[in-house]
Amino acid sequence: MSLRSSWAMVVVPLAAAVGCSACSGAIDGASATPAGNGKGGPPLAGGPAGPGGGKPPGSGSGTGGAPGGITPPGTMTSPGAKGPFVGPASGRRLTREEYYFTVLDLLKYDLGADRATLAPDFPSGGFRNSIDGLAPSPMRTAAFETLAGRVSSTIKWIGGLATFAACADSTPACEGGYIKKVGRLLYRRALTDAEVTNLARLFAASRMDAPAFETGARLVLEAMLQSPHFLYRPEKVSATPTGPELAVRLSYLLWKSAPTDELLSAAEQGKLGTDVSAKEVVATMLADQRARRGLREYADDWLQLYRLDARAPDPTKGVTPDLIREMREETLAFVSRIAWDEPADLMTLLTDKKSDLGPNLAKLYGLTPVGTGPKRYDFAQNPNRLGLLTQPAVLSVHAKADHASIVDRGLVVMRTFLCGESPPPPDGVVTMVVGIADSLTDREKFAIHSASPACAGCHRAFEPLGKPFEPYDFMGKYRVMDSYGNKLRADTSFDLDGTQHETPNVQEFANVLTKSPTVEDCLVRKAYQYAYGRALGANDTAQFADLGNGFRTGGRKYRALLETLTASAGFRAPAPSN
Amino acid sequence: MKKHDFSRRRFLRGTGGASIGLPFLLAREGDTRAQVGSPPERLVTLFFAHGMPLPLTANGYEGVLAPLKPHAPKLTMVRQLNCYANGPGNGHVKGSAGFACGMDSPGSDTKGGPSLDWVAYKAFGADTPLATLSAGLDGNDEPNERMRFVHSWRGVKQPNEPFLEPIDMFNSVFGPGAGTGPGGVGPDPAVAKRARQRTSVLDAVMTEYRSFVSEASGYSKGVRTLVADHMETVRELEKRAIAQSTASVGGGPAVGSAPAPACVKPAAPPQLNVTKSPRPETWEKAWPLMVEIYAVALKCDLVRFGNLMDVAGGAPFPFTGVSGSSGNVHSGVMHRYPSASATPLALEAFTWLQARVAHVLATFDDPRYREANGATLLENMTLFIGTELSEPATHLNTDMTFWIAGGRNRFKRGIFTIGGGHSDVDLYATLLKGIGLGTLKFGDQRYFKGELPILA
Repeated sequence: MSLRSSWAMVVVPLAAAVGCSACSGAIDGASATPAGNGKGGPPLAGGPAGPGGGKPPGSGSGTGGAPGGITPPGTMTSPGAKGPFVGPASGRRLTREEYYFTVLDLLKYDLGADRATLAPDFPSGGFRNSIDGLAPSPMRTAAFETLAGRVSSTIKWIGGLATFAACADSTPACEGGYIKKVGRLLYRRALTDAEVTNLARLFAASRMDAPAFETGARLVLEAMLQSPHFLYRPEKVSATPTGPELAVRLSYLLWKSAPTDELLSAAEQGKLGTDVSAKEVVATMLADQRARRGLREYADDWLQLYRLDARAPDPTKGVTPDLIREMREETLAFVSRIAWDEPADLMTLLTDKKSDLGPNLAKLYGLTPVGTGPKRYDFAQNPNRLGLLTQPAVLSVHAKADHASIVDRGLVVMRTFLCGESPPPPDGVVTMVVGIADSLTDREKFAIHSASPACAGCHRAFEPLGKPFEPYDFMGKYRVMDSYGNKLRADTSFDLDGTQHETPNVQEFANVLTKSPTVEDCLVRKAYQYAYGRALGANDTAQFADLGNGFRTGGRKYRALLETLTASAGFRAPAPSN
Repeated sequence: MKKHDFSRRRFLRGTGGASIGLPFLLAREGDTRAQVGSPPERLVTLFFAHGMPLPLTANGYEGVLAPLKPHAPKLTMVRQLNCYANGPGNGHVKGSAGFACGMDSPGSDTKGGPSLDWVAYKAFGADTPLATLSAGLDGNDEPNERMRFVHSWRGVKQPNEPFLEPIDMFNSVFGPGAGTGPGGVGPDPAVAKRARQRTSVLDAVMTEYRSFVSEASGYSKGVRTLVADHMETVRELEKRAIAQSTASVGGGPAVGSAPAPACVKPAAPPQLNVTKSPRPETWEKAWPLMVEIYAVALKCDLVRFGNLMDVAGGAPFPFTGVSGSSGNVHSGVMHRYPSASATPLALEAFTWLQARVAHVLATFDDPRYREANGATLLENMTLFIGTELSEPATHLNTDMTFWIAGGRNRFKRGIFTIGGGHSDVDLYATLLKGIGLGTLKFGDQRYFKGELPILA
């Protein structure tokens, strides 16, 4: 099957739309098991069928469909959206990064290492800002309390928190004025009288302490930082979002942070309510350096670079903290240059030949480092280095601690750049390549491993996408041959957009991807998913369709993508009502 | 219960600083009950990683199970049960999802329902400062497969994430801040003041949550439900703050040192940065501290339910044994077991994990934690022990082995080989009946075949 499908499939989980039934065989002598969970089902008398044997083959975990390869989501050349529109999720909790930047921007307080007090958030739908991954937990609540206490007790008073107070008298007017001013920023809207009254009790409780007003003000801040109105981004059920609600959507998308006082004022004045003025506001936001930061944060999520935090240093293999840091920074700087500094067509993210490398990373590239900081290198004469696909950060985030396979790499290409998905293999299957001589190359091993017709359905879709990367080790270092003296190859044959492609090396492979409408669509789809922060449904198919035109018209540039996205009817529509 | 709770809170609030300086939480009602011979019902689950092949349990507490041998008289080993719980993901995900739950999982990031410890907590209605307590060792792997490193759940997408650093666990259990007043006499006034402020702040915060989740707020039901779940965790925090505000401060010995405290707040453990270095050397420092904090929390009736995680499901970590070493015990060793080349190191890794289990048993059974009825903490509680797989190479969830430790003499001791298609759901039903919750339907009832013959 071709790696392309009709636009109508756009929100269908890919595995359900494809003939990718999960592996159900084993290659080392273990017996083959039927699809399902491979357990054969419990020996139950009556009642519904149990798992495994109780299900028709291929019916579980999104498997099924006609035999063939992976089908990515569709194109955006379909008729435009007509509504009803459904907006981004309401009620998302601030992610760790959003919390950090919100406190930094609004209170001018840098949490520094205390940022790690909050555990990393869980990705859902590919991104960590999706409402499905932002469930509360007792541990996280305790961490929010710890941070609230730390910020409120150590933030500067003079030149800091005191700037929110017009006076420092223990009077209702003075205390209320402070609560309203700091609360408007932290809650991203005007406070109600009941909220002011509730928080003012903390001033009353501080009267015996000195200095009373400052003590009370700090306690108010401590409470606000634990309030659901700060930690969550709720929107009232309404026919249209309010100005401040739209401002919040925009600021967390573009800046990864809360609206400024100025943005809230513009929103309150209705400037986000008309197309013309809203575009002006967005243009102003994109001109702000916080938008560059927002891009880096998006790239970190999109490419899952945060997973590098989990890679344990192993000096025996040359994996040091400095190298890991430089790897991540290379990719973030690369994306920033292409998308922001130049700015260039985003498809060149796959083919651009320049990159900024720190000294440790330069060594991994086989270069002689120049200086101690990052330096720009041009790989125009090196066919093995181009774009994101050959950058060590991207190559290693899904690799094991000491090994990466063409399966790992193929899945990264499929998921990140083609927006495809493949079901996991069922249990009962030996997923490791065992029983096959270690001395074979990765592609030789998988040629045996994936020979089973049941396995081939999925493997033939993603393995070809990983073959160009066989010469790159688990950290992304390029090798001509492996430790057994086998020559490593980068040629592959794959079906994309209805055409069979034969590419001899990674450069030609990337060139094919760059011309693919599926890859183009996927760039937009990822941004859409990130902006909406929820599982996508049927309405999104139509809303999504219009975005591609704006993206193409704008030269496929990052700015055009964001302008189109934020001006779309869907982005400005009410949040899902459930 | 509510009336009593109200009175206690009023007492605690009313006495304020006057009660500070008493031995840590000796006034806790549960602890008082324990002192007079009626220990409260406690249920803790203990998860260990990388499975337990059935053949390795065939000779009792020999081989990889040797670390458990000293505790065999207090153990019920239940062999050859199947875990039928299904869901997306490989055997690590399914096995972890099914552990102490027995429900199909709707996604790779959540169990399909509440876990055993939470159900017991809700059923017994414990009025402890902590509803449940989860802590353990995480291998920093695959962030989107959350149930592999979260084993206590309030429900679908409602995780009770584990504490991974002993100091974070300590602060949550005992409260931040420590010290005494001038000359070492009485409580530190600054700490007392801070305790008062903390309860005031949380009171104001709770008011905001209550307003948020009310229908009048104008937010959708889904958003209000989400935030209501968060509110429950703040409510726990408030309850804990009130209790901790009456605690003495730092009077006890360091965590892990002998003799055991009689509900005196221990000195805080050091920051170990466990998550920055997820490997056995760090875990061997962290685990004893976590287990000791857990034991004190149980003994002092700060919590009665929860989970300990002896390494997250399927976690990759470097492992070195007598027979060799591997940078990734998961793919380099376990996936290749029982091949001849991988078996020696795999057996050592299995044994290493069991040694962590044995440490829990030894700590909970330590005479230092003997209670008023003459029994040890272990004897006065129910500890459920299980894992994710039976065969780490094939990722099978059939022929699994579980244990019940302690259990207040309500379970037969010994080794029971069940088979016959019985499942973990049968074991959960039997366990719940044993502790007096036999009317609860727990886990997917499609997988229930009948009780197991392990009740005393």
